[in-house]
Amino acid sequence: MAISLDSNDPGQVASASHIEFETSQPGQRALVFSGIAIPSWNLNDDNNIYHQTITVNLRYPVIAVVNASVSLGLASIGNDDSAFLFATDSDTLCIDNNSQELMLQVDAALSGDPSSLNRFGYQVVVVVTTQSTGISGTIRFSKDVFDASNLTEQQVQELFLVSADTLTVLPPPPGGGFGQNQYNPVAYGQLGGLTWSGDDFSVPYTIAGAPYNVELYGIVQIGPAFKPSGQTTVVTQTGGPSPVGLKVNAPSVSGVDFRVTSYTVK
Amino acid sequence: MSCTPVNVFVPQVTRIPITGPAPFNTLVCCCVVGSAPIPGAGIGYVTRAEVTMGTDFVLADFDQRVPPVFQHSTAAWLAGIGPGEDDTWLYAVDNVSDTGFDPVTGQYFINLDVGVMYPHIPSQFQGGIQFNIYYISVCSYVLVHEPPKAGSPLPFPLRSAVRKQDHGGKLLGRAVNRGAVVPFVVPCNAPPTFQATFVTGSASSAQLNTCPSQCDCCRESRCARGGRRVGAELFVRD
Repeated sequence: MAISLDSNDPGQVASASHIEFETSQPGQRALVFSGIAIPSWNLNDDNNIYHQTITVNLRYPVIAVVNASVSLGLASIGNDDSAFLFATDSDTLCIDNNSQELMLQVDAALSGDPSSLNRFGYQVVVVVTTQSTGISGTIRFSKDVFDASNLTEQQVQELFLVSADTLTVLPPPPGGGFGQNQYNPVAYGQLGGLTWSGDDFSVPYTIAGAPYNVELYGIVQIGPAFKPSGQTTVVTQTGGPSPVGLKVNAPSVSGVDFRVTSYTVK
Repeated sequence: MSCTPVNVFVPQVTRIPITGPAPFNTLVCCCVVGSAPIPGAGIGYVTRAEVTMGTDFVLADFDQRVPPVFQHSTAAWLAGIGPGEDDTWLYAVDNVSDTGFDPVTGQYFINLDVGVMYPHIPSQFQGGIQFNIYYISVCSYVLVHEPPKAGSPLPFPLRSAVRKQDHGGKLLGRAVNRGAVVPFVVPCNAPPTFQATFVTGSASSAQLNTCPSQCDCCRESRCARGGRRVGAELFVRD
């Protein structure tokens, strides 16, 4: 079975990072993706060589790839007193047909009794054609909930953590009980500057780089700088669609607004 | 098959001018292969450590009063391991834990979380390799802002070389000795009378210079000793 890894999950890809910079061509961007993927592939057979395709979702939507160069290397391997083989044989850079996200596919091989191909490092240097995708809106709260008028610029950035998440509905456990909604962040947002009008504060946000053709849910989590007056804080979406769907011909959605309220149960 | 050598200054740090995003104007690519000098903890135990890999990248016009603004994307993997036989072993580069600039020198460094369980060294190696080999390769792309070069073909000022040039010397090139930059400077056109006794870098024996004791460029005591290496600088013939 193929192994799929998400570069947004530190448990699946360690120290995942990317930088991007401009080229002289409009609509093109150059990017460098790096990380240490964690397939944690183990087996107990040194009579055969096993092959496996490992896919790393780089979590970056693109229209097309212009040029690319990929480097790979084994990063964590182990064996216990047997014949062995470890290999990252080849790589393919591809675009997910649905979400348009960049994917790195690595063909690996392993043998040993036991052997572990725990991690491999990768670096992808790529020029892509892209367009800005984004979800944007405003988070509002009243002065009664939290007086933010004296916050520094740094503290404003720590008020909320905003992300665009996919939703996985987990079925009820065997024997009864309730199912669960599990939200998986695929892109994170940045906060703008704090403004207020009367007793109402507002913080704009933008989530860039969200994937296409996926049902996305805007999630706002309370940050360490937000000190609500009440014991319980609730974030409610007050504007825009839910879920949000981005298309290649409609890559941005704005007006996805939220309001934060707080109360104390007596 | 013939080929023409590419004249690359060392250290081999590639700087690519870029137009953005602000405030960055340079993309730096620096790669390094180094050993992870961590001890083994014995059979059946994994030693974990954080190791620092220094690179040849020094931020131009680094000012230790100003924290550098930079972004990076860094990958790491195993470059060489072994030897071992009939044993349990593990070599792991788990994480790029940190990157930054040395606050004193401005040298770019990379921190890695590594782990290792060394195997038993094969008996047939006992007469030769008697230590475990653990080499790691790191490659980092760094977005930085560096001031434009002011008429110099080199990416950053060579103060000692400039000082020697004031004495009539001529800059030939540079070499690297364990990470230290060694400028080659010609102090004078005088006929040779001594030979440097310790040479590092790529200077050929034909370039070695000797100086007459009456030469204004050399100190009398230096010539009287028959030549020596002073600091990190070598004196070579034009």
